[in-house]
Amino acid sequence: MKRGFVFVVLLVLVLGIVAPVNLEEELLNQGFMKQENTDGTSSYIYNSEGTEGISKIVGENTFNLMSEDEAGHPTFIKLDDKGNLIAFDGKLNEPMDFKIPEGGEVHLEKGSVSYNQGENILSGKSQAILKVPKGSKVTKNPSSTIIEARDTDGTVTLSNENILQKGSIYYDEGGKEFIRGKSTKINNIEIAGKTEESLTENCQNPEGCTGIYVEERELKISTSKKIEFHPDNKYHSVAENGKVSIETTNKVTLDNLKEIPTITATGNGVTTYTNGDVEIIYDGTKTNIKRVGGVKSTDSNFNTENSQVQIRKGGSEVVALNMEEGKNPTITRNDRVSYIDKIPETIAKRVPKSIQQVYLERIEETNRKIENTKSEFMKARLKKYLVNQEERLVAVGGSYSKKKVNYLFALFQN
Amino acid sequence: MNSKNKKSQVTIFIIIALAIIAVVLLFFVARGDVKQDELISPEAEEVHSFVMGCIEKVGAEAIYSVGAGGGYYFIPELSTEEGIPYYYYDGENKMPTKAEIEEQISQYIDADLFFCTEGFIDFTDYEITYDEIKTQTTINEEEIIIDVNYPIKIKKENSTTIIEDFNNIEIPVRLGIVYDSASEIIQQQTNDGICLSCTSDEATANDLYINIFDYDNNTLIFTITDENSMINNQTFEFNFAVRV
Repeated sequence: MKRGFVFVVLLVLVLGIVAPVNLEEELLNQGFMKQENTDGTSSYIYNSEGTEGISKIVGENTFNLMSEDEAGHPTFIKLDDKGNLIAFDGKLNEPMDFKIPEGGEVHLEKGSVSYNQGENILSGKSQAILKVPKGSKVTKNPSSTIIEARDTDGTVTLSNENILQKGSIYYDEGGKEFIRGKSTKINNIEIAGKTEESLTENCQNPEGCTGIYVEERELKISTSKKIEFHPDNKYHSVAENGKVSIETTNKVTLDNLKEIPTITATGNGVTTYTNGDVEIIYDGTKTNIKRVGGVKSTDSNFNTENSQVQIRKGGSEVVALNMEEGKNPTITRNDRVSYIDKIPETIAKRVPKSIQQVYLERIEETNRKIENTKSEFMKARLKKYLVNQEERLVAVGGSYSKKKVNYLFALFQN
Repeated sequence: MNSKNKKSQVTIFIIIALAIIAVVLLFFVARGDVKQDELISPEAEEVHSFVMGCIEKVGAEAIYSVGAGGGYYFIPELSTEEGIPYYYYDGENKMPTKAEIEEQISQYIDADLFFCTEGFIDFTDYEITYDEIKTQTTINEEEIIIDVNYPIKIKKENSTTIIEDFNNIEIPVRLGIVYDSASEIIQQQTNDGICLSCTSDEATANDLYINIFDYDNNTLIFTITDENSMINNQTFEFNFAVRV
C-alpha cells in the first residue's frame, strides 16, 4: 500500500517534469487574461501595465498583426529609441498603437510573432488583445538580461559573456541582448559606429547570429560602416569594403595578443593589425607578426577578398591564420603555437659551460671518489683514470691543479 | 700406395673446403654481414655491452643537450645569456647546418663517453686499455644514428680481445624533422617580423608544438617540442632565438 502510494507520487513528479509547460498558464502568469471566442479560438487579454512580455507566439495569424500581407511579404516594424514607429511594412487587421520603450524592431514571421525580452510591444496601452488560435504554441524565450542602449558612454561589467547589440551586433548564446545605441562600452570595450542597415538583414542565421566573445580586457572596436557576425564562427567579424579599426586604449604586451578576437574583413589595402606592441601584417602571401613598441593606433585594411587574421585566446592558443589570396578563408584552430609570458624552466636553468669547465668538474668528481675510496686497488685505478682526464683537459686547452680546481669551483658556486 | 694417395686426396679436399669456408666467412665479415659482436670473445662481451649502454645513454644526453642549446654543445658567441643561439640576427640567417649539429653531437659523445666508461675501473678482472674516441653522427628525419670508434683492448690472463667499432646505434629522436621546421621558420623570417602562419603550418604539418617567448625588446625565443620523441619520459626540445 505504502509502495503503491510512493509509486503514484513519483509518477506524478516525473510527469510533472516531462510534461510540456502549460502554455496557457504561462501566458496567464505573464499578465494575460484568457477569453474564449465564439469561433473556438482563445484570446489572451494583456492587462498588466509594465509587465515585460517574454513570449513567442506561434500560430497561423494574429488578431491585430498579420504575419504577412496578401503577397506573402512578412511584416516588418521598426521603432525609434522613443518607441515611435519609424518603419512599417506589413498589414494590420485593425489599428494598433505600438510602443517599445527603448526602441527596437518587431519581426513577424509567417506563423509566429516574436518579441525579445524587455521590448514591451503593448506597453503604450493599458489593455491590448492578442488572439491565439486554438492549438497555438506559446514558447518562452530563454531568460536573458537586457543591457539598455545608452546615448552616452557607460560601462557594463561583463566577463566571459556573449553580447548582442541589436541593430549593430548580434549574438544568440545565452540570450543576452544589447539594444542599439550610438556608443556603448561593455567592460571598457566600446562598440560604436553608425549602423545604417539592419543587421538582421545581414544575419543569415534564423536563430540569430553569434557575436563577440568578451573577456575582461580593454579594447575599442569601431567601424565606419558595419560589422557583421557570422553564425558559424563566434570569433568572426567582417567589414565589407570598409575599414575596421581595432585600437587598444592601454598598452598591450605580446601576451595580450592572445586575447584579441578574430578580424576578418574584405576591402582594399594591406592587412595590418597593431595593438601597441605587436603588428600583424598580411602581405598577400603570408602573415607576419612584428613587435613595434609603444602604443600605436590601429589601421586595418584588407587587400584580398576573404583575407583573414585570426588570433584568439583559448588558454594560450593561437589560431591558425589562413589568408591565401583567391581562396576562401578557412579557420583552423590550432593549439600548437603559443605565446608564453614566462621563460621556460628548461631555458632558465641552463648554465652554459665550456668544455674546460666540464672536464674540470669531472676531474673534481674523480678526486672526490679517490678520497672516498678505501680500496687501494681502486684508488690506483682511479688515479690512472685521473691522469687520463688531466691529459684530455690539457688537450682541449685547459690546465689543472687541485688548488685551481677548488678555486674554480668556489667561483662557480659564487 | 693407393690408399696413401686416397688419404692425401681427402686431406687436400678437406684443406680446400676449409679454405673456401674461411674465404666465404672473411667475405661476409668484410661486407659487415656478420656482426662484430658475434665474433667477440665471451669475456669481452661484458665490456662491449657496457660500452654500448654508455653510448646509448651519452648519445641521448648529447642529443637532448644539443637540442636545448639550439644545435650547439659549445655555445656560439651569438647567443643569449642562457646559451640559446640566435638563428636570425639583424636580418641575417645564422642557423647552423645539419652537418654542424651532427659534429656538435659527436663532440659531446667524444667528451662524455670517456667519463661514462670511467676508465673501466669497475672491470677488475680485466686489464683494459683504450684509445681515443671518435664519433660520427647522422641526423635522419625520424632518428639519429651514432657510430663510435673506440679502440679497447681487453686482456684476461693469456687472452686478448680488441673491440673497436660500435656502430648503428639508433636514438629515436626526430631531430631531422625539428631541424627542417626550424629552418623553414627562419627562412620565412624577415625584418617585418615572425611569420605566424608559417610557424603554425610547420607545427601542424609535423605534429610539433611551438612556444614563442618574448625574451627582450628585440628577441624572441622559440621552443619546438616534439612529443613523438620521448626518452625516459622526457620530450625533446629544441630552442633558438630570433632577433629582429
